Amino acid sequence: MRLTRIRTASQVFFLALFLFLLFSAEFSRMRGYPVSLFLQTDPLLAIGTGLAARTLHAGMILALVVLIPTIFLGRFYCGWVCPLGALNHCASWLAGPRGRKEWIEANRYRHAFAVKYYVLAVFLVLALFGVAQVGLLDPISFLTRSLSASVLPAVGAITGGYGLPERAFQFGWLLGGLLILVLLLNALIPRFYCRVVCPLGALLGVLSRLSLFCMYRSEEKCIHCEHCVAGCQGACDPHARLRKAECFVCMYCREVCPTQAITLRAVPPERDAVPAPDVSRRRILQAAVLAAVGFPLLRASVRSERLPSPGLIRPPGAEPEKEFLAKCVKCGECMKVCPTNVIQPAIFEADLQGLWTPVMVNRIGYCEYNCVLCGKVCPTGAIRNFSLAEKLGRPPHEKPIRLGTAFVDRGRCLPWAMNTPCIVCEEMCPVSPKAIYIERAEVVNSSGRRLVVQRPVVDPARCIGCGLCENKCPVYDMRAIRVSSVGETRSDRNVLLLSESADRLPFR
Amino acid sequence: LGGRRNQLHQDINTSIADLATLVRPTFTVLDATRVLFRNGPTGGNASDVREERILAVSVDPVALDAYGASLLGRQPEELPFLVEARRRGLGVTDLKEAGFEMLGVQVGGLG
Repeated sequence: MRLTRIRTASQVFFLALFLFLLFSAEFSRMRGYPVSLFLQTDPLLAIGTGLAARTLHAGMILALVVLIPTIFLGRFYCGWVCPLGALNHCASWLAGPRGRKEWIEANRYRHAFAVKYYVLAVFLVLALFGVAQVGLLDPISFLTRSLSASVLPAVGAITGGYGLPERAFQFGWLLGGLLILVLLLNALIPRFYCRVVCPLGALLGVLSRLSLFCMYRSEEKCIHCEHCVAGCQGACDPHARLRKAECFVCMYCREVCPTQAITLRAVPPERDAVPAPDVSRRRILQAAVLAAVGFPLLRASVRSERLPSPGLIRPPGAEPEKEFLAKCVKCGECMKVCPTNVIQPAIFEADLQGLWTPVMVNRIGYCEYNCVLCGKVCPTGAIRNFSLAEKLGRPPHEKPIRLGTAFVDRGRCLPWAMNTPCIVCEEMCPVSPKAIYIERAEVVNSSGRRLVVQRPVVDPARCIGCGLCENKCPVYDMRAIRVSSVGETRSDRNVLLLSESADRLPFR
Repeated sequence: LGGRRNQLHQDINTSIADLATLVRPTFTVLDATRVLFRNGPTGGNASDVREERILAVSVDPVALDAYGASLLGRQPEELPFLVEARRRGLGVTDLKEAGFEMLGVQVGGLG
């Protein structure tokens, strides 16, 4: 049986499923699809967010599903399931060397492959300190983010649609560029990301030590032709002592061996395989120390959870900033699903630890009043799965979810600064009663004519910070009404009104 | 008319009259089955809506808009875009003077 054919079919299937689910993360196509399935079945994201938040989001229990094949077959996921792995496999095939001899040399084990274990160690130590950064390099998060915030918008832009609504993301080129870089690195070392960088591969590599089956090479039958190395995906030395932690169980060696010396067997004795990753304890300790030193540097920086930033407006249902940063894996699923494009990857808004986390940029979009999709797709509960009644403050909920508060810039507002009629923000305000009311004033314009202008005034007790006013304000470059994060429901620090402070007092 | 419609508000009355000058319908339908009184046009909820159950039609769009204003308790003279439209000869605003009359009104229950 051609097991490699089945493996290729499996890779194509899971890549197609991944792309289909990502394509479905759109309000007209969502139906009941579990669009975040790949993220929720990712054990690295489960461990990373679980350690950082000290709780495991219910949806992430699915990650156990991936651990089941790992118990039997080690890094089966890397070779058969991972969509980024499939892309790297394909790119390596295209960009790799020509000729069997060159391939054999390209697929030799290298000490650089240990780097991914140090990457994993850094992320896990940071997670222990409460900072979830695994999403930066986790392959599922990486691919979801790059496709959502860069590649799919680019495809939509050049093809003019095909179910991809017009989208643009700040520094989107960087996200797409990183994906291109990852694919190009396959020309340097085949499956570069999988072998050298991937912290999920490292985690599964560590766990593969416990796996029940692995490739076994019969020394008696082996003629040392090394043909098995030519198409080896993990570069795990199938021609010598198998490095279990590197093997993707791709089945190439078993298939190509002219003497059928390689078979899949129940765990052989240690002389036949290297069970653990080739890492030095010293290096692991160094990586851990690096993370432990890096952590206070992150803490000593200006942090969004201590000093709320005016521009850091999180999507509705977002956890308080500290918990949010412990759970958000920067996958960009919320950015993909948002119908107005308002959710953007943070660059400078939330310091280094908040890089690529979702932030609302109202110049680009606004929070659609009747929409709850970001909470539906978030795999880790960084954005709660909130209901519409909860968002709008309908019974049994007493108050709506507030994202911030709108402020009129009286120096730029047409009626306030220029005696020019305009009521766009008041007209657009979606809450009832409106959070923007009109103050009528009789003024004299430059030609001496008396006229009545309607000046907008914000009622901070009613404003939910949705940003629709800012988005529609005709003062096009820097809007004359702008939302800042103060008054956001999720913070007990970033409060504007006395009445809200009173609600948050401990002795209430 | 797409794009930067929000700029029309800077001279809303002239803009509406311009639109009526540019687009000259032969037959106009006013759907007033439900009328939003407050917090519109984007906001508003069910308590801001009154059920009028009226569907009005006319060959004079200005007259029909004047009639629509009356449903909101407004006189045509209060609304500069209607005055301007009348001045341009696009239609009439005094329904009685123009001899308008209600023909049939009764509509079946709202589905």
